[in-house]
Amino acid sequence: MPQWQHALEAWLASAETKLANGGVKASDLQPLRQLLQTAPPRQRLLYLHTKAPSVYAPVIGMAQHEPVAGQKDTLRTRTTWPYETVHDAIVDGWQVIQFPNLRAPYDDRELDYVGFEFILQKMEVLVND
Amino acid sequence: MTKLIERPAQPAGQNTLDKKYLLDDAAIAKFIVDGYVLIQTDFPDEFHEGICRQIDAVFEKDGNPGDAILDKVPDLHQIYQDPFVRGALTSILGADYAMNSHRHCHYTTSGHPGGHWHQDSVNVRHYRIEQLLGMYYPQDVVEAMGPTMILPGTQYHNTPSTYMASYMNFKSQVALNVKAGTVAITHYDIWHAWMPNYSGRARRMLKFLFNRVTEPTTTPNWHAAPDYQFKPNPFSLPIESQSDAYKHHLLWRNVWDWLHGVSQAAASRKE
Repeated sequence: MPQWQHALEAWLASAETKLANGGVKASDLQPLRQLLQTAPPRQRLLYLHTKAPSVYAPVIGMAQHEPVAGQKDTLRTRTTWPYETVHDAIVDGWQVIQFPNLRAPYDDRELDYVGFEFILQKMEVLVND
Repeated sequence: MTKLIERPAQPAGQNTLDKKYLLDDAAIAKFIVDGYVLIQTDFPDEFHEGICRQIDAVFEKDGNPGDAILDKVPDLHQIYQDPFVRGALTSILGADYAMNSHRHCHYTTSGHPGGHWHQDSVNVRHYRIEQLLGMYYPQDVVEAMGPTMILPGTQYHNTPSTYMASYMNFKSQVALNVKAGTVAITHYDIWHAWMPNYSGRARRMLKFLFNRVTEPTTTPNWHAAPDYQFKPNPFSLPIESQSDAYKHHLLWRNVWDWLHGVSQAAASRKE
């Protein structure tokens, strides 16, 4: 268990004791706020595959990987698609960390990959592992 | 992978097939574009249930028999002799198509994580329809059982399967949630995968391969109408970039012409 989570557990135990003995005071919240500010953010990854190498091109596929132990995106029939374009994802706070590589040798006669791959991230503190 | 042709799919002299079982122009056109067609065989449920029991017994006793699955479960012969299946294979590959000696039973139990997008074999591909997969499902398949997934239109892509690892779900992917007795006939090179099985039940899929033996002639092998116009929408595939749409459109026309016995050179001059 990460160190910050140990600290959170200790704070909760302390708060529970205080609740049984008159309640938590405003000053008791300060350590919790400090804890949230120092908890390490983790990298959420979003792969968006689009029809063209533009952030406005339609999304044709996606994979989302959360920084949670044991989590793995799977093949499934998605009923919802959160973003229609990469731009939509950027507006929602995702940052592009890799754009499609258009400098690779290219022969406009062959069919090879499907779509263009954008990799995006969000750095966030996740409370639950 | 072994690609030896084992034997003709039908014994000599037994290749007569009523034309009503053949595909029509629209079905062939759709196959050229999408790369698959679903066929429902004409057997009672009990027949498929019996095949499931035979497969289960084989796996329980000896594990996966690989290419020997046809010898271990001989009722599978009947599936691939079903007139609807033969009609589709004949329409696409010609009346003298042959069953390949390689085949495999995919048997996934609950908890199986599924398999990623790939094309079978190595990346030596071509646009001609030389080989087909015939995937038979002896039980109903629902989403929780980890159905086969295919991505229509990818059969002409030449993509190293290893490099597909970052792909996950596509909007236009098709999950083969099918009834027992369905045979999905696909272009050999179509991208396919399978979902995780979390159903508490086993999913069985028999993958057989079929080969073209002779080149197409000017007489189509399907139920062709003389006045049919092959005019696929060049932007009909949701996955396509603009460049790929142009390439596909030329390819589809080339395949259509080739299936009508028009040589590559002649087809090129026509474009």
